[in-house]
Amino acid sequence: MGRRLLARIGLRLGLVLAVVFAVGPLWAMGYMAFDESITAFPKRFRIWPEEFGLGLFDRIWEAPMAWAPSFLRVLGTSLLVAGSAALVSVAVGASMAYAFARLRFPGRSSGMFVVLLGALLPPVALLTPLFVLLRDLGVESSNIGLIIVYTGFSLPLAVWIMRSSFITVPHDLSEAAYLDGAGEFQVFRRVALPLAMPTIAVAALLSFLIGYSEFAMGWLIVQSNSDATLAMVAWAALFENAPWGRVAALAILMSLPVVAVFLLLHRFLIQGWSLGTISE
Amino acid sequence: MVKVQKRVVLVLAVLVVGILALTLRLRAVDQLPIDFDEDDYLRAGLEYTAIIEDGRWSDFTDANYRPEHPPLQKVIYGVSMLGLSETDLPADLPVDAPPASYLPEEHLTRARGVGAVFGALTAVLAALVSPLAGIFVAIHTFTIKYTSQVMLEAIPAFFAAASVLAYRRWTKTDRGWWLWGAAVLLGLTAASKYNYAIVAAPILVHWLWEQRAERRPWMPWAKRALIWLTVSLLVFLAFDPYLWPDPIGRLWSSVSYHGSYTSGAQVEQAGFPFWQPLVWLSGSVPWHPGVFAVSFDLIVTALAAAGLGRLWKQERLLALWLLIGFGFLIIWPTKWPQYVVTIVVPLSVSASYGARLYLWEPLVAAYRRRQDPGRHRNTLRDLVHATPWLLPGAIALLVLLVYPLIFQTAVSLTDFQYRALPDGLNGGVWREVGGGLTGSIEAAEFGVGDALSGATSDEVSYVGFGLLGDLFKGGSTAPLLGFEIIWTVLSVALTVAIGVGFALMIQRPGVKRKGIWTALLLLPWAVPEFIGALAWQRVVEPRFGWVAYATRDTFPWMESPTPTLLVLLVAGVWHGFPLVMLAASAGLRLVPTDVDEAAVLDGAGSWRKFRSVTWPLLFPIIAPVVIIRAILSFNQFYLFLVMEAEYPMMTLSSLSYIVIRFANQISLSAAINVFTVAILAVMVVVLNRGARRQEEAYG
Repeated sequence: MGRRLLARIGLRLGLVLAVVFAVGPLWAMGYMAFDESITAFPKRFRIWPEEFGLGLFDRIWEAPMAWAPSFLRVLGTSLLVAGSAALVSVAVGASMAYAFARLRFPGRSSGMFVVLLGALLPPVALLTPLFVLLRDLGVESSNIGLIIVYTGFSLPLAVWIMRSSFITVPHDLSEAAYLDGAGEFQVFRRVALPLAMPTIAVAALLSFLIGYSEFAMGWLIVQSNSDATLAMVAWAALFENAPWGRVAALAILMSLPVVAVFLLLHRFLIQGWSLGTISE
Repeated sequence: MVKVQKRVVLVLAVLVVGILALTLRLRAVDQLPIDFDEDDYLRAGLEYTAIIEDGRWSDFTDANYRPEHPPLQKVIYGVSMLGLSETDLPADLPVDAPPASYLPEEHLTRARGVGAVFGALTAVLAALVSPLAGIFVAIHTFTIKYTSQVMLEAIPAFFAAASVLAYRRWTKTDRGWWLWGAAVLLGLTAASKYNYAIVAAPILVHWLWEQRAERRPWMPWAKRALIWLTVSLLVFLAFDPYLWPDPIGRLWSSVSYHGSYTSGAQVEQAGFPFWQPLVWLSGSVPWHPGVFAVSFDLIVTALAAAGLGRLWKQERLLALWLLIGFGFLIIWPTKWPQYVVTIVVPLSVSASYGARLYLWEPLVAAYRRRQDPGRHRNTLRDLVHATPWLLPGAIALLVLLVYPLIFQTAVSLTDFQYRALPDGLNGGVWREVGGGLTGSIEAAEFGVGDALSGATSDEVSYVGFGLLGDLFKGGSTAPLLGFEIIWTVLSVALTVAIGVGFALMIQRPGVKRKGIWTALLLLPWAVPEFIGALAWQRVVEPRFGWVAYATRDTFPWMESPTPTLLVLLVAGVWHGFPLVMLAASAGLRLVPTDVDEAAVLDGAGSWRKFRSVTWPLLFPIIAPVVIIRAILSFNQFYLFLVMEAEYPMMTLSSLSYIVIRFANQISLSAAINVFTVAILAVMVVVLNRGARRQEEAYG
């Protein structure tokens, strides 16, 4: 009996320690956002704000950095850029994903190899040529430039994830539709697409996240401060040694929406990663 | 008849390997500059030459210049130089003295030549296991260098390989004299250089393993092994006359020398991280351009890693040699480059399996599939049918992925940097690369060093494959590659351990509110990677971070390699474990729990249940996620940027970014990216194999 009690206590303790490991560092940074006493960096060890207040969030709401437009404008840019890249990726990639999943044609395996490789490439690996390509295309607005670049980063991943969901559409269903005289497109629109919707949403979300949290390539492409995204501003705040509290507040504001979505959808998110193979 | 033919082919192959190895080594004998320590060992050899010529046999018990190393190889050097013209002994200088500026030409060449012959014989031994392995030993540049200079590597390396192979022969033929031959050869190994005697460990482990597998009682084995070791020891003593007058005292002083040397000034000054052996293995010899005909060390290592699984199944003995030998190199504090020679034979055999597995067999399979008359052929009509579906995605991918990758490869053949942007954008890259590849433009000499020299020009020019060659040889970037490997391996291993561990805790029966625990543990993955890195940066900041304040001291983790690796690992694992945890949680629900519960009720070792029941069922399910994590760790970028990691403690993608952002070097960045893409392509193939195996197992 005593042994089982001990095991239960040990298990609880283990879980608590695990949570401390997971949340600790976030707290170590996050508490500073609520501490009005920190001017540049913390002066002593604290795990709780010394002077609790929300003043930092107020100031960031007006202008995240002195040179940046209002928070809403910056957030808007982020949503516009990352959202458009995600939508374009899903819209352009869906039919290709369907073809890879359901059709047979010469070059299918090599095509899928390229897509999978692209999905796993670090963004930096495409940075140089995309940067040059943008100059080539003469894109004036850096918003559109960013959308193009982020689409390049997320399109292969989106195709690959959507493909894995189209594979799981039962063949009986599509066979039945063919027998009723439906064409390939009808099957795609009326059978496959509705069934794959949750995974397509995951593909869109992961594509969105790539653009939403990217900053390094962003600063190579964006010319004017007013076109910066939230992630770019947060990075700049760190790079320019902004007060730790301000950086923390920015980080919290930037993370909140993503964390919320993640916690709601995590059951589906894992599906997106269960890849599948390039089979013949 | 077939058997005879096979024999003939094998003999021919071994001959070819021997000739190749000897040619490359003699070339090195001729061209290598005089290196550290060569004067010492040449002097030691010349002392023996004089002793033998004068017939002062009793002096053998007292001569042993540089007594920290046993005398056998020095004696053989001495014998080889008999009959040459007389010469002065090189000066007696401290061990850390710079390389000698002059050594008697004739004597140097003779002594080096002896090393070269034994080096070639080692390649021949490897060729007896597998001709391809022999070729790898023959072309391995670190091995060529250290067996073709007057060092103490060539002969112990040969004896060590011979000892292991004699034992291996015994396991196959069961003829006792192979076993005792192995003991004699082990003694000769130890009498040539101590650290090569590490091969005793794989032999004994393998021997014991076999005993256990056949469930034989182990007392008789222990007795036999003890006698075997005693024989080696006697041979060692017999061939180390320097020990005769005072065996224990002299042995002790030479061994303790190495103990204190490891913490001495010379080792400390070198400042190598514990994973330095990986650095030596991830590149060819960087110091002597032009001496080595081919530089494939990095590829040999990569193939060896790929073949390790197959080696473990088919050549357990050599796999043990590789693993134990490598483990020793990682643990042993002295990290000189010549130590990799101790494992080059099993490394090469493993590489030959890797080549078979990843190069030869896929080719054969593809050929068979092509020959198969019943296979489904996709026709042009299928393609026409699929075209409307593919078109939008294909156009986008061509513009955003394929064209950029091709352009990037072109850029990597130039010296493109920021000042040349206008030229490069207006077709300069294509002009130069087109001209260069058709031969109308001569390539300038250009390597990584030139790219970082800061020279600028308004025009792009073609430089050929210098940059890519530097990277694929791994010469100048080997320190980074070594870090990249240890980083990826440790980070994945820890991520899996922690992710699976946490999943096991949450999935235990009796844990309530699983959803809340899961949600809390998911947070590190839910926040953007860069924010997580930022949080850790705040924790470990050297002066104002939590750690610094909590310990009331600064936390200078960036100043030495091991703490840097640890800090980066903790932050990297923190970000990575939730994905594994989710996959493992999902997997655990598929694993039958009644076995587990029964185990818990039994109170029987839950670790053993996990090892033998849960893990084998769980691993195939989480394997794809593990490989994804490996690729993500390999590519990890934001963490290194935020933590301000310094070269070489960073990943290839971080280096690529830093090179373009802060050194304005577009072409070097592109070359690094081409290299990364090549590595990832290999990883994708591996991923594909793993995932396919999982599909076959689970449908």
